Amino acid sequence: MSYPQTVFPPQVLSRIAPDLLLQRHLVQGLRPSLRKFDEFRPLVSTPGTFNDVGTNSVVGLATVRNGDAFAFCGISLGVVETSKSPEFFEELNDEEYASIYPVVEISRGRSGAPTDEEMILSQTLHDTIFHLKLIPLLLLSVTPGYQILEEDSALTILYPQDMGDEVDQESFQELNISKKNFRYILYAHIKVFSRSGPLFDLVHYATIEALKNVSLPRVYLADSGIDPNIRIPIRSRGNFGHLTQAEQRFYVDERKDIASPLKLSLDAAVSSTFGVVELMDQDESRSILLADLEGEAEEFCSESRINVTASGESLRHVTIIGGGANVTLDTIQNALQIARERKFA
Amino acid sequence: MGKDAEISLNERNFVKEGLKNGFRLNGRSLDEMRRPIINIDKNEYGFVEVEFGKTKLAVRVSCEIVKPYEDRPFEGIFTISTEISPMASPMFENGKNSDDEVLISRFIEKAVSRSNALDLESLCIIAGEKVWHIRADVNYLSYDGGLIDATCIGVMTALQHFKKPDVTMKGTDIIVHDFDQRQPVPLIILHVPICITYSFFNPVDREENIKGDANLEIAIMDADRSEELVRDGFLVLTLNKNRELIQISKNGGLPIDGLALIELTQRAHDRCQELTEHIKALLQADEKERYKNMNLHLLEVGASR
Amino acid sequence: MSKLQVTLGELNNVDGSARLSVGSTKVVVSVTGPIEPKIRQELPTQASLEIIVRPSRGLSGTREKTLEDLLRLVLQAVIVRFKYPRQLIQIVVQFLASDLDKDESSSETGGRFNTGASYMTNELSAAINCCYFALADANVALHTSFAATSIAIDENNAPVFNAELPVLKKSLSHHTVCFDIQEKKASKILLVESNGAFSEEQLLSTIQSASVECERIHSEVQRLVLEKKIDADYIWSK
Repeated sequence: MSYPQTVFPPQVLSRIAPDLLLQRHLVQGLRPSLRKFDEFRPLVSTPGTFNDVGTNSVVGLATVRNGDAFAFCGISLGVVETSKSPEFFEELNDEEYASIYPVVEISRGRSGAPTDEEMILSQTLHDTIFHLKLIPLLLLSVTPGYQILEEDSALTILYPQDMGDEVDQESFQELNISKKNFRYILYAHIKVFSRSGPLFDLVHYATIEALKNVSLPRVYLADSGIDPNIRIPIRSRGNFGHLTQAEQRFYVDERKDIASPLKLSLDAAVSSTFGVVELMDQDESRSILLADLEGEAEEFCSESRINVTASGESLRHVTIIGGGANVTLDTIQNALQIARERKFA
Repeated sequence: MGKDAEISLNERNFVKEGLKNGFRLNGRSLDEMRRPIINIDKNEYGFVEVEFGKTKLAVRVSCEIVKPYEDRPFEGIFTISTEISPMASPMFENGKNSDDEVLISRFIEKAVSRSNALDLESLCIIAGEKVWHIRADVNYLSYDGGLIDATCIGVMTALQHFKKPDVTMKGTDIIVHDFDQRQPVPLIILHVPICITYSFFNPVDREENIKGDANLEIAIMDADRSEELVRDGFLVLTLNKNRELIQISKNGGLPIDGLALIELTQRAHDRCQELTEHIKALLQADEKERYKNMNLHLLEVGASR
Repeated sequence: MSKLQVTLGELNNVDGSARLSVGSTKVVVSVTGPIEPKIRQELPTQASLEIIVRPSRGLSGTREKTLEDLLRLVLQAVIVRFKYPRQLIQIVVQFLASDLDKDESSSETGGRFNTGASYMTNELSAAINCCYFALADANVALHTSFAATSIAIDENNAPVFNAELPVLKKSLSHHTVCFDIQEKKASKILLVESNGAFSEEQLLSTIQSASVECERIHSEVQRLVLEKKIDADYIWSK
């Protein structure tokens, strides 16, 4: 008795037996995407600006493409009051670095609470950018200006850094009554479209590219329009006091010409991810590296992964997961080598 | 090991029959409480582990400087988090606030925060701008009944043991001093509330319980897991050693004789006195040991240095 | 080098548990399983893992999710998952004390980044090691033993094992390395997580010295604890 042979087209096979599909490709020396083993998809970045779209707090923007996957990263600003203990000032030197607060969103046609993947990407990105020592903390200190209403009812904004020594700094100090210190914080909003494999490389690249074209606007304190002498009485359990309404509110100075570009301490830092799979080739198996995983079959089958973030010769972040195919020291050296030789458009 | 909080019919009847005859499966008498074993960490302030029979939990108190609530500019903030993970028992699901969990956090909130056990006004640094936020995180390791009582003991011990760093003001600046620079300061605790839980069982049928005059309901103190699963109702009393009542909570369940409440409260008072003394003794012993280890006697007036 | 201190089986309502303290990190891990999973967790051919990491204070957030992810990558490779198809193994990692509690119990963090929260190597290695003991206590089948260690490279390019937070903050780079152990020898890399600035040689030599340390943990701690457990669990006729 004979049965008709069932033939599965590659799309179906990749769903029902991804490992089989991958093996058959690899034996041919090709990957399902028809790339070579160590071939990366080109990473293309387009710097964008929102500057023409009126005032807003987006200070850096990049759109990045890797194969079919797109990511879009916008950097926005916030201002926080920094703590002020004497020891802290001693500590603050050139050696301190800042990070960003990323929110990664992967569009999948659904909304709701962030998925685990999004949370993990955001956290890893935050930690990696910090350990990269990319953004010197000193660059983020804020010296706010003051908007002053002059007698002819014209508004001018004065900045301490614009005034020479001859202007009496003392009277300026009086303006800053609270003597508080402020610092910018950077938020990164990253949106990913058409996910087709592990995303860390893409998201990392988009963030760095966006950070590269960040320029920090100046901020100033303005008269809130509320008379600081108006006090609101408050009573609480026998105590009695007043709250003044002179709350400090920062305004972003719209003038682009006085905004200062953020000088990053590194020129480039790129993350490369490799999958490690076991290749059964004529009864002998060897582990091979697959650069820049793409598609379900590759993602599913490479349980071992190597992720390298390097800046020139110096390594900044390495993650090796060895649950699947055996990752030997040779494999690691090999991956580092390929990552270093990676070319960029 | 099964996930469900169920208990077999046989065990249920066994527990009940035992109680009818005045026996508990754990060998305790009806109004006998387990003796808590309280471990105060030797190296930190405000980290306490409590073993209450087989119920185990860890409490960590921490502090942080924050902006106060707009409408309460003179008051610090105090929060207690009581999330139960499946570590305590597989019957608790992760991230899902079960009714039990909500109840426990309510009882503790009422017993500790709303009774002003912690003086919130003493946590104010600059009115309307900077206050201390004190938080107590309760992590449950193992569940065998009596979570409310054990949590209250743990939280109150940890709060009394905790010390926050000293702060000095310099104009409008504040300087937070390290523990090595200046001796940290304890929190101001106004009184020590203690929770005592009674569980009620109905030895007769429902009709007899409501209509009859006999008042046969059985009340036991500090039920363990199997007793908690079988009980028909419960009462939480919160008291302090000044013989003050802070909370009485009996949310439905088995109707009991109103006058029995007085009797139960009396007995709870005795337990409360014992527990307060026990906690106090432990804290004093710890204080003494630290005093010796940190050589603080050298700071005394007239000490030979 | 700080010592690992381990106690097994102190919890009653779970199938296995362990408490481990190393340096200023204290962690309790419980293992329940194999138990019946929820429908959406069920895998037809192998056991599914539910890993829950809880911090010593505050609620769990993205940091704990990241730790869960790294732990999962290690544990799914060592647990014999095909032995428990359509079942669930639930692992709860509860930190009781961490570097943050010791060195940053009350600092204001506004606008600062060099805080303990950016360093999870000590927590990660302690959690992995503690999971090993808890899984063994719960009699969950494992392919191999495994051990993890945390290494910091200090300013003088010297490796420091299980560095305390102030050392970590000043270090050039820090690494978490986990090896599986077969026949008392570290054989396969299960996890390497490195951050900071380092060279290829440093990475490779760190992995080398970590493998020696993992073997030491296995022979000096894991074997002793487990042999004691086996002695207590069974009656051995002479």
